[in-house]
Amino acid sequence: MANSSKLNRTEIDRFTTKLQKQFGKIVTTTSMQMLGAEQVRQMKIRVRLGYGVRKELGKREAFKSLKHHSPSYTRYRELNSDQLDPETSPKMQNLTFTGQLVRDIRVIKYRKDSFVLGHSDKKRDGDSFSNKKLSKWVQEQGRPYMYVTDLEYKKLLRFYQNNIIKPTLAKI
Amino acid sequence: MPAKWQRFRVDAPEDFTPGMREALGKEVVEFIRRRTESGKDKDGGKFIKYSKAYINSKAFKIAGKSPSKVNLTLSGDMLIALDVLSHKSGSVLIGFEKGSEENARADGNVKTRDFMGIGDKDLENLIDKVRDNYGE
Repeated sequence: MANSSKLNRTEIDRFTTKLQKQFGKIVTTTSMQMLGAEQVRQMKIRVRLGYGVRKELGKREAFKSLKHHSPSYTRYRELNSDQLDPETSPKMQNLTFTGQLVRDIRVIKYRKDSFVLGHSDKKRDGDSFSNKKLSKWVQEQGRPYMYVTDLEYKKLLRFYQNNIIKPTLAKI
Repeated sequence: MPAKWQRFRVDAPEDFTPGMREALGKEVVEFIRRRTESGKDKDGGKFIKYSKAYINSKAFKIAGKSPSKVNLTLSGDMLIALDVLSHKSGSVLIGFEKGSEENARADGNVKTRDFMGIGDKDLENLIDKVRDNYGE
């Protein structure tokens, strides 16, 4: 009985060590990169569908018309439809004309257990300003979007469970 | 016409503790999400095809959807919003937050592509899984 108990103890210790090792691996740079990429994908789809969000973990809201998105601006978009990104239309309000801004949504910083979303500082094609500056401007004009919505967070947790936790546990 | 509140109740064994009922509810929710994503309705049949107008819409293209894969997923917000609403001895209530945008979407979907529910056999399997996980 003592031997068996000792054997079990050793087995448990081995298992615990293995478990700790695997769990330590779960939050790695790679897994944070996977989560970051998934959130960028989610945010791009949301914005292109025409939704923003006013605060971290808030509900998504349809973008409201800006003053400049007047009938004459819609007309301007119609007249320049050859320059419009395929994922918008003259009447759509989804922060998209050439598509540079939305395409540029990215993770700008990874930390051990988090990531920061943002835009590049580089100048836009054909413009004298960057997407970072344009992003700040559109958000100040009443179209905030650079937050994670409540449901995007739930999707991210599910993604983490299905693509990072489960495969790691399966190796144990 | 306001959207109907989309929810359904599943039977849970009387001996299930609140924790086990919560776990069962979560299992049912995830089962429905996976089944729906695989293109099957609540009876295991294939969802009917999307309309041509929807397939040709900008939203369809933006989400990168495939016309042949009917999975009720555009942004994925509707399926992730499905949740355990409450539970009591012997049952678990599953559905959407009353009055929410996702409830309205679900209400629109169930009329032609009903994904709200679970068959007896599948529920039994999930009940067994919860019992196993709780060491019973």
